[in-house]
Amino acid sequence: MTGTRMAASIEFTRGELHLRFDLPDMPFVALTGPNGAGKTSALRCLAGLEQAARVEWSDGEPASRGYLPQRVMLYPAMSLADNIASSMRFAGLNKASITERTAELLDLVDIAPLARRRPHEVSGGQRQRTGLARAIAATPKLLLLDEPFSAIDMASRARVRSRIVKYIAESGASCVIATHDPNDLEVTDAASIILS
Amino acid sequence: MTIRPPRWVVAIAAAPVIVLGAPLFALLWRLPWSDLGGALRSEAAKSALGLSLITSLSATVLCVLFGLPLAWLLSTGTGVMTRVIRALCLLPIVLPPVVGGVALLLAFGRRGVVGQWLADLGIQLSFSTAGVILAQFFVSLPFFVLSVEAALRQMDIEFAEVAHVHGASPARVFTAVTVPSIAPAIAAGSVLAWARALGEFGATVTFAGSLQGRTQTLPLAVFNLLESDPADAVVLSAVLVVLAVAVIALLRDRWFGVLRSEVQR
Repeated sequence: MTGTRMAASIEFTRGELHLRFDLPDMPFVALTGPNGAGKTSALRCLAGLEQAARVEWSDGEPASRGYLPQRVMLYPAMSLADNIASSMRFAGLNKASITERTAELLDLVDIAPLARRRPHEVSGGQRQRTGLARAIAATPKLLLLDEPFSAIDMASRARVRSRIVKYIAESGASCVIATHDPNDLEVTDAASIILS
Repeated sequence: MTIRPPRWVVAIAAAPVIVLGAPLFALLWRLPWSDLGGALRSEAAKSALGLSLITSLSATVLCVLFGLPLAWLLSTGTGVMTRVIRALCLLPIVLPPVVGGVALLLAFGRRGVVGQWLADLGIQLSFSTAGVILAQFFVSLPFFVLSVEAALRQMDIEFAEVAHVHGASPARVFTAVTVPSIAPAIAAGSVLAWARALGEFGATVTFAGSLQGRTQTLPLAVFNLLESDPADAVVLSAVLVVLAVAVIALLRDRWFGVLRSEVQR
């Protein structure tokens, strides 16, 4: 794993919440801390969704981002396959490679038989797998994952996690994970930032 | 258990049901069943029916084309301008259609504020088929815009945020993510707008007149026939009733579905 120079310093205040942290130059960074510490807000700052945030990127803003919010937010009118394909369409990939990679990703997160289902027709864990696939699909430079494995059943969580982590590591992305799960830290060998 | 209303409440509730039901019943009662085809084949009826379909569908298409961007703008705005534009959008619902027709005449008529410029270009809207469409667009746009704006406001903004983070432009977010998600509201708004356009009378007769083949739509034809040929007027009215029933059937799930979910909550 090589450094990708996605370091940044972040400052954000909203109401009672004050965030100040430096994002280190590491492939995996974990944001931890108790409920309400601002993990989700920190991810939103990095995603560019908080206009009040001051984010200084050491090497310019990331050219592309992948994002899995805590509530997943699969597009309700699209099938799971189309949800995964959406981030590649937005990134401007060509049709043939989108089709090919969508099939690969459906297999990667074990939801190929559900490809044509709509989000409301599948379980929370299956939605989270789809959201993960959608976030990593366009091989973004910066990945922002909020509690990415929390809804996946215990029996397959470790398997899905190791596949996703391997995929991200190979893609060369910087990945920031907000998590409560110590296993997430262990598997990713992440530098952790503790928000309080 | 359901606590049922007492008999005297049932008696009071029955009165409006009679008021609503009796006209429909009378219309069907007086329908000249043996001569339905004859009435529909008359020149006035055929041209009115065709004209009504063409103009009301055109007005609906215009409502979707212009109403979607307008609803998007209104749903994101918070300022004074937004409130002014929304009030303007609501106006045709509250305004008597005849007054709307007079206002249209003053704006787009041959000597109107805008109309005189159009006249110089050789375009005349008043007393033309295009004028019928304009009048229908004027009265039906609010129904589409309000329906769609409400859906846009109810939509969770996090869907759009995800698409934005993944690199979609605002227009792309709207067309690829937002519009498909609110498709039911767009469909319902279109049906409402179409129904309003189809039934339009006051603004049309004032702004476009009642010229057979050019501006005489179904409701205007009914009004005209009432004097000369009442039986035919009844038949054409029945056509509008059938269309109205179809609209209710189309929107049934949407309207009654809302009622059901509200009761369950």
